[in-house]
Amino acid sequence: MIGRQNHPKDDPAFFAVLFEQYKNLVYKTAFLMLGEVDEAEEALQEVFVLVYRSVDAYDPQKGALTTWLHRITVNYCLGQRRKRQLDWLPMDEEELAENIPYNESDFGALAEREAMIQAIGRLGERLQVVVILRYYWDLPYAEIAQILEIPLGTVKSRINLAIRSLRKILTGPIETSGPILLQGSPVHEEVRLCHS
Amino acid sequence: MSFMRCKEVEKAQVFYLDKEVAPGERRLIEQHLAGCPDCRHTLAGLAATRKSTAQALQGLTAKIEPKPQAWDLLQSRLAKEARPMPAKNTVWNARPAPRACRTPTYIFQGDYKMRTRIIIPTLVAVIMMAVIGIFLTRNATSVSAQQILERAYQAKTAAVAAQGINHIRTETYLNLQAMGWKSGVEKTIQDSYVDLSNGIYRLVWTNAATGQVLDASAYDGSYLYTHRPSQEGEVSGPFILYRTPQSIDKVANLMAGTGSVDPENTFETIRQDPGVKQVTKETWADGRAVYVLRAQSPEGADQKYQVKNFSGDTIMVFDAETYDLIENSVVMHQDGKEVVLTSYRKLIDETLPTVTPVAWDLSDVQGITLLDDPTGEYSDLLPEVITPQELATHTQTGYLLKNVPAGFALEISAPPRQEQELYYTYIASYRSLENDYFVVQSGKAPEKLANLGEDTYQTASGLTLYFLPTQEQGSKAKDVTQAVVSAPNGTQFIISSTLLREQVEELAEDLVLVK
Repeated sequence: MIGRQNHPKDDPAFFAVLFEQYKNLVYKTAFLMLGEVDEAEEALQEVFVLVYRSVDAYDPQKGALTTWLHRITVNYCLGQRRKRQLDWLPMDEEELAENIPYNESDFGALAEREAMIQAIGRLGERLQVVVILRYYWDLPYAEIAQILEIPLGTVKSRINLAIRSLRKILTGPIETSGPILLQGSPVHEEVRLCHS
Repeated sequence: MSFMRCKEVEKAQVFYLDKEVAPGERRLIEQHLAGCPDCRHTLAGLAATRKSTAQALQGLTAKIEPKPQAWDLLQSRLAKEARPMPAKNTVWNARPAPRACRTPTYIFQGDYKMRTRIIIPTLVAVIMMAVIGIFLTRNATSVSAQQILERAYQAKTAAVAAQGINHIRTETYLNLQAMGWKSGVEKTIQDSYVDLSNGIYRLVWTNAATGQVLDASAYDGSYLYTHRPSQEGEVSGPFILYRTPQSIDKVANLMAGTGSVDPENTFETIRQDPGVKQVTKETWADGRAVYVLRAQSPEGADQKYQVKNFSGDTIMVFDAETYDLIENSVVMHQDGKEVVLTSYRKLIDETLPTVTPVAWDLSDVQGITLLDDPTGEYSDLLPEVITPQELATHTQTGYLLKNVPAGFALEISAPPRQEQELYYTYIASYRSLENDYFVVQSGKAPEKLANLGEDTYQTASGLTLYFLPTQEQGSKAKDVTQAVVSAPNGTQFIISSTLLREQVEELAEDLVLVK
């Protein structure tokens, strides 16, 4: 917990520990959201500078430190995606194969993973974020709601939609190359799902 | 006994798998699943998708991690975040009236982040003299060294008094390795042009080895040109120059108060310092005869150069014929050798005819991307002249003299677009034809008022002046009186003047809050 006695600006060693402990949280979230190592490296720097500048704004009574760090990271990455119009995981099949570890005898597993990654890439940005926070970081819905500053019901709605959409993409016929679900209103997205 | 239908269970299946349902609901779902193969089939499919999703994401990040240098990079960035704003110190180091320095350098307080752009013709002299002046402190100066400095002062005065376009080119070297920096540009060239009649200027800073433009700024009388790197200090990526309209009619007179004031101030500072000693007279390879003066290392050099237990000298080189200061360097004694830590060398210092064609808009500089910035969002707009009424609308803590003293003229200048700033910054300069001045400027004491000493004066209106040690300028320039003023409402501001102490006190009685 950050207190005045170990305020990063007064205690550089504490900030070093903070960085060491949470650099992967920031880096990997950024990589998953921005899709490129270079972007993740830049995000790591930018996010921790933001942390340094705004550490006075952190209130332990309002949530865990990791929640606060996730929020800063997600907001930064969303901003970058919109500003630069980044595609999620622009890697082609070869790059995916290089980057995903697999047993050489299990090409099926590799293909499945590649297909899943492509499928995630077809989700809207808001669904991708909840997928990352829930199925990569294993965060409870309530914490995701705190990170994204949205109602718990909205988190549930998006996760439900994301998993069902992924299932549909992977098991149904591929009819379009673009995103299956556009970034419409959550209500609109729910209606589409119910009627599909 | 309640039960759930397929449609209800279907909606809750993902939450059930994520263990995000209440215990009661969980029991009902399991009860339904026990008797419904269709829902069990759907659940299995969703479970497989969840598992694949998690595995795919985990696999994607399995081979990646932050690069080892990430922390070092961050440290460098944070070190710059923690660095005190240079402007906070300029109140006490700069000459009080901007016109006295013939520069748009501005004096700030609080957290106002504005890069000051020093464009005075004696730019090199200021840099060099500031390095020298801060640490020359000791024993009696030899007569010959004094004479050399006297003559150097005279040479600089003559050069500055001329009209035309002053062109200065300097080379700066920083021994980054010795200072503990892992990367950066070591040698840079700075090329500046200033039209002495109106103050329009251009300044270009390049990497001496590659010619890459590192920084550039200019004002052509109609537009201000400002460079903003994508990250502070970063030199990769496109070089963006922002162009913002700013009419010369609005800009505070950049060249007002020109004359021999500035070089005199800087040279006088050195002349009075007893730490200078003559070392040698040499002849350089180009045949030029020079005097080389050496002085002991400045106080605070450890911190300034990030070198522990710093031991070294400052070396000043004067042209033996013109007494122009042409080089200044700091050397460090290390393992019995002399290592150059920093050096500034003037390559060109000339005054060109006013009609000399100069690309004030930097259009001749290669590799620049010009972007229009009509609102000045990215630009360091030059200070503009404002009226007392405008000052009153911008701040509730501005002070002016109730009446402009006879024989003086008032000009108030302030940077535009200060709406977001905590404190409003302004300078009110009362100047006479004889170049006397009385300046009121926003600012705060660098330390607690109680620490400023007991040399105070209180006016009838309750203002308390805390006088600082008089800045003696030697025989050729006027001494400057400075004081921090504390008002009953807690406002602080600064006055500085070439007038006598008694005159300053008298004028202080006339200070009022602008309304």
